[in-house]
Amino acid sequence: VEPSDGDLGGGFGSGGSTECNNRNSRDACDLIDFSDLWEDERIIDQNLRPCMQPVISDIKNLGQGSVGRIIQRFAGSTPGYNWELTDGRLAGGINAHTSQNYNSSTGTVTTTFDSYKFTNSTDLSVARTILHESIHAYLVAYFRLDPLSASQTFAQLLQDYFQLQDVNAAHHNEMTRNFVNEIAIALQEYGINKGYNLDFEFYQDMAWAGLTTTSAFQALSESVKNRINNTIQVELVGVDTNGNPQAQRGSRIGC
Amino acid sequence: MLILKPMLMSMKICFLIPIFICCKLVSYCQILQGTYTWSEPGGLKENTIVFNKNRFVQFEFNDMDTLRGSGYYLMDGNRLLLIYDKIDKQDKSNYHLEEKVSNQQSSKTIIHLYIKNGSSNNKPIDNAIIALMHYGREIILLASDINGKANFVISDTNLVNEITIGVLGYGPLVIPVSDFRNKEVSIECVLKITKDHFFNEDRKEFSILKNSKTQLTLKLENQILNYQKTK
Repeated sequence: VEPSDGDLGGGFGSGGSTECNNRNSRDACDLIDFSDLWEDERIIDQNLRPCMQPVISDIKNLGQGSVGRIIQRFAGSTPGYNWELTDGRLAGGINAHTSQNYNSSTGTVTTTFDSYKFTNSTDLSVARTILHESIHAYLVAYFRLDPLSASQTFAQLLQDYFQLQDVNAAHHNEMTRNFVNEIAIALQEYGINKGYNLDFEFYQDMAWAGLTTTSAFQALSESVKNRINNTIQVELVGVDTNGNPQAQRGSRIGC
Repeated sequence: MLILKPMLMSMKICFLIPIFICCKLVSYCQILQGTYTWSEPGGLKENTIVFNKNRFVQFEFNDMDTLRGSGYYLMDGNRLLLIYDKIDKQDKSNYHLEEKVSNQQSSKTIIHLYIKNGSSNNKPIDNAIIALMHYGREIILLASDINGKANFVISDTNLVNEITIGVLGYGPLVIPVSDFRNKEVSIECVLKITKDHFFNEDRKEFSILKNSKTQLTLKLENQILNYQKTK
C-alpha cells in the first residue's frame, strides 16, 4: 500500500460533488466507486485475531453504512490514508485505542483492539467499537492531511481542542454532534445484514458507546441514560449495569 | 464598660472562628482506603482512584489517551473533594521568540514561524494549524508548509491578540501578540505529544451518593459514576 495521498481519488474534502459534500443527500451521491476500493486496499486488518475478522469483513461490505462511505459523506472524497487495525493488550479496562498521531511516513492511523476483552461480547458490540474508532482515525487523518478543510468542516472540534487541550474529549464532543446517527445507521445496516430484527432505538443507544461522559449524553434524561448504559454494557459483557446477567441481542464472536 | 464591651465581642469572634474552622476540618476527616475503578459501559474509558491515607492517585484510560494525577482529598458525609498536586513535570509545547529587526515605526508585525516536532527529533511539522485569534475567536486559519514554516504579516494588531498553534495530538501553543507588536520576529515553536498527560483541573468536587465496602457512587455535575472497590 502506497502512503501517497489521493491515489484513490484525492485527499480530503477536495474531490466530491456538491451533493456528496452534503451528507443529507446520500441518495444523490455516487458512492459505489472509490470507497469500496479504499476499504479493500487501505483498511489493513491482517493483524486482527481471527475472531474479529468476520466483523470487520462484514463492515467493509456494508452499503451505505460502510466506514468509507460514512467518511466520504463528510469529506466529500475518498479518504487518503491507511487505517491499520491491530490486536494488542491495552492498559486498564479499555478494549480499543486509536493513536492520536498520524504516521506521515506510512500515511497510517493505527487502532489497537484488545480482543481478549471481547470474550463475552457480541458482534454488534464489536462492530460499534470498530465504527467508533474509525471516526477517531478519520478525524486524526483529516486534521493532519488537510487541517484547513478539516477546521472548516469541524470548526467546533478545533475550538474544543484549543480550549480543552484534550483531543479525546474534542473528538467525542464532535461525535455527539455529527456521528452518533451515522454510527447508528451503519450498525443497523450491519444488524439487518446479520438477520437481526431490532428497533432503530437499539442501534442509536449502541452508538452512544464511548460518549457517555460527554455533556450531550449527560443532558439526556436519567431513564434514557440508564437504558443506553444497560444496552451498551449488556452487548459488551452480558450483564447490565447492576451486574445482573441479561440476554444479548447479537451473537458472541467467540474471542 | 463601654470600651470593654466591643473588646469582649471581638474576643468572642476570635474564639469562635478557630472553632468553626476546626469543625469544618473534623467534618472532612473521613478516610477512604483502597482502589476504586469506574468503567464506561462501552469499555472505552476507565477511571481508577487509589486512596491511601489522605492522598490519592488517579488514572484515566481513554480510547485515545491516558490521564493521570495525584493529590490529597477531603471527604465528609456526602462530599468528596480531590485536590490535585500542581504538576510542573509535564513535557509541554513551548516556543522561543527572537526579534529579528527592530521595526518600531511600522504598524505592521512580521512573523516567521518555524514549527518543530519536539516528540520526534525536532523534525519540521507540516500542516500545523496556525490560528490568528481575536479574543478567543479564530479570525484567520493558516497551515505550516512542508518545512514547518509559515511567514505572514499582521497589518492590524488590534485585530489579532493571540496566535494559537496546534496539531491535534500535540499540546497547542498560545503566543500573545503584545510581546512583539510592530516588530519583525522569528518564533521557533516546539510541539509535544500529549497522549499521556495530567488532569487539567486543580480540584474536583463530587457528591457521594453511596459509600459501602464494595462500592463508591459519586456524582459529578449530571454524571453518576459507580466506582467498584477492586483492592
